[in-house]
Amino acid sequence: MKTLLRLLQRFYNWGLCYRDSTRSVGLIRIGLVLLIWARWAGELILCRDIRLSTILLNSAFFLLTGLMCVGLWTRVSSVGTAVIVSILFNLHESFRHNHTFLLVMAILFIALTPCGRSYSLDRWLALRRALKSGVPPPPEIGNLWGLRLIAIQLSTVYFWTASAKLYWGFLSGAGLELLVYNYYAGYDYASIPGFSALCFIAAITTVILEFSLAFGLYIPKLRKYLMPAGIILHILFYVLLPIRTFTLTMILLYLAFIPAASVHRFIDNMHAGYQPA
Amino acid sequence: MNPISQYQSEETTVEVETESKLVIVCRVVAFTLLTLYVVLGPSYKQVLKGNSNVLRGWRMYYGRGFGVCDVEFYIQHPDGRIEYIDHFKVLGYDKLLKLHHHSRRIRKEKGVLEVAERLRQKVGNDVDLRVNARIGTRDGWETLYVDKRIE
Repeated sequence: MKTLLRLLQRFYNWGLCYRDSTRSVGLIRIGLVLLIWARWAGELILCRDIRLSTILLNSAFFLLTGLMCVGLWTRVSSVGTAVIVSILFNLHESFRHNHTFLLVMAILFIALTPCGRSYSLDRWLALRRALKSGVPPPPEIGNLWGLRLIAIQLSTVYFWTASAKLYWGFLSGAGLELLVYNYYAGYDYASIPGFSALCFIAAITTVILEFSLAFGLYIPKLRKYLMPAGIILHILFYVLLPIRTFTLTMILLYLAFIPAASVHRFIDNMHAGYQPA
Repeated sequence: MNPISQYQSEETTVEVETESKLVIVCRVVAFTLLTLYVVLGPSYKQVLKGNSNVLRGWRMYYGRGFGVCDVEFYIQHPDGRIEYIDHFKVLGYDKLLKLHHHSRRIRKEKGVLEVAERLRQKVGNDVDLRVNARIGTRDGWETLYVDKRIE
């Protein structure tokens, strides 16, 4: 019982008492808006559907995502964006894909953080106010529980996608062969020596890597090896399959696993030698 | 003291004191519910085989390639010799490779027979045209035709 309580306390501290630099969430905030624009904006431009209700909804999408991107009234605009993208996701059948669902969830979680405290107009205004009144600049610190939810979401994606591959049809390599025949039809792959063996190795490697990513990204010692491996895996998916924004979303959300203080320090160090002209 | 720890010490003092118990309780409830939704939600579709737009699974590219066929056309000569036909080449190899994958792949029995019919028109009715074909299923490749004569 005591062990359970101690574990719960640790989980509580990890998930809900994570106070750190808001630069990570600021970067994710901007990245998510760019990704949702890349995926949806073309289909939501106002001339596509000129019914009044649709025009109002799509205008709200552009207004709120725009405000969220530049970080103006970020608390309201990011929550508003989360609401709007959830509505649009459920309204448009063509939007209902796994990669867009991940975007919607990530936007919801980032809206739960003070993501406007860094890299935003809100930050710029706060700095200006501080300068005028002669007080120290407001700190870029906040409770990042939404970032923990993003980390859990990413682990869940890896865990369930790996679990879904645990059947002989995939593990034997045939599942990947089918993907090749489906998307790259036009050559006689069966005649290529070692093709089936390569697919078998790739299938096993993918499953092992996905399970490792599901749990290993939380462990700092493993993270430095798993993160590059995960990025390579996602780039391969991106190049080989019509996977759209999924790869870039996953790579962006990896920031949730890097300690926010390290991201803050890394950015500070990058600017350390800069001398304005 | 580096800038981060300086910010941390300042901010922690300010915010932790001002956060009400209600906010903390709401956060705990929201975090718990969202975690349960994120972690266990996919099990509805993937374990219990349910169907829901709210409880989504994470099966990426599952089912893509089911029904796709790997085919091997050949001519059986009267002297027993077998001559394999590159159907991609006979049916317009160069053009075909530029097409969308929907047009390039052969799907299901119907697709195999359509290609067979087009090949029959190309090679003529006098030759003994045959096909071996396998079809993609959840369990991998399954044999569709073995040495099937195309009429």
